Amino acid sequence: VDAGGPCELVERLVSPYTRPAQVGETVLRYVVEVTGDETFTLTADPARPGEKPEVAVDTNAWRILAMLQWHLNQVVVAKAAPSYVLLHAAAAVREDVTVILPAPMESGKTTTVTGLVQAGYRYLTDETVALVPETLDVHAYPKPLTIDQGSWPLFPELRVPPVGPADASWFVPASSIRPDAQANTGRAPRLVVFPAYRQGTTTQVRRLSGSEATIELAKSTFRFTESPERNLKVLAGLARSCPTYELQIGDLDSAVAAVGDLLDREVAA
Amino acid sequence: MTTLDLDGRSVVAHADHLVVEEFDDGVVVWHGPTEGLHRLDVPGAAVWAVLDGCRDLDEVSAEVAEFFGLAKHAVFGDVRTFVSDLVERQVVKVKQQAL
Repeated sequence: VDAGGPCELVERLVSPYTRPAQVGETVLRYVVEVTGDETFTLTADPARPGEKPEVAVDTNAWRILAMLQWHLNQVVVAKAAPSYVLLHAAAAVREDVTVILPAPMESGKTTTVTGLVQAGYRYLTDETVALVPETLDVHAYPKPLTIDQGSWPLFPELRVPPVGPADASWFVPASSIRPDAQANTGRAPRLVVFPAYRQGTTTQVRRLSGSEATIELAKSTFRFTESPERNLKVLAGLARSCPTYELQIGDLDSAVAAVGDLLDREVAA
Repeated sequence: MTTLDLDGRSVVAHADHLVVEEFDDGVVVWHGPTEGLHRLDVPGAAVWAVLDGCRDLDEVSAEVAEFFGLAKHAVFGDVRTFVSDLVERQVVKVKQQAL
């Protein structure tokens, strides 16, 4: 592993997912082959059911890394879905109080949770929240923060080498923001915030009702239809047990402040 | 099914294979066969609660009207339209068709 080189980047990407295999456990192996014409081929062994081993072929190594990250996310979701309710969400912890931020892609999950971690919260994930059905406790999915180009000006200090081309994402371990930033688990969420970045607007929050929140949570649930009864019960329980808000984000600082205010209010209550 | 197919004597019941979660502000219904997730607001939930497969739409309308302090004739049209929509969404089934 070369410091600052591409191998270090791969190590940074995959290290949260790796641990020694246990007896009888399937080992997932990725191979990147480079052919003479500078074409990269990413394969997964074993392939996922119904898929070819070949995950991606590209002349851009950074896109191969992005595909590796995407494929790992898919594998993790597939493996965890039978045991957990999985939300497409970011999550962070402040003083043992968990806030989750469910939203579709490009809504501001990673940007918001990065801002929260910089403000002192501990990081659980920027991609997938695993809820324990019985307790609603949250398991971390400690992938590196994937910061896209649009948010780079907000976090210039997080630009860590190697830096790829203009369209590549930054893969930032939470520990590079603060050594103790990574949390492994969180208690059941006390606050749910649905972030939505709207350029040119002012940041504002709107409280959602229980049924509205349940519908929105369901939209953010991976593989909802595989266990709909369990998933709906868990999501309804979450919507009943903690306040839920839409957060229209105009700028990051005010969004971080708004989440903090909502948490203050919840803790005080 | 259209609103024209339902009249005051139609009897409607919840469909099979539903998962229902009730809230103060409405009801969330999952229908497995169509993989449809539906939210009913407070008036919708009031209608939903009395679609028990026993009462006809006249009786359902009377119950809903009483709940909201309105006259039955004032709510019947809305109830029929709403129930027709639920039939289209397949979360209720018509047990007894209008003659």
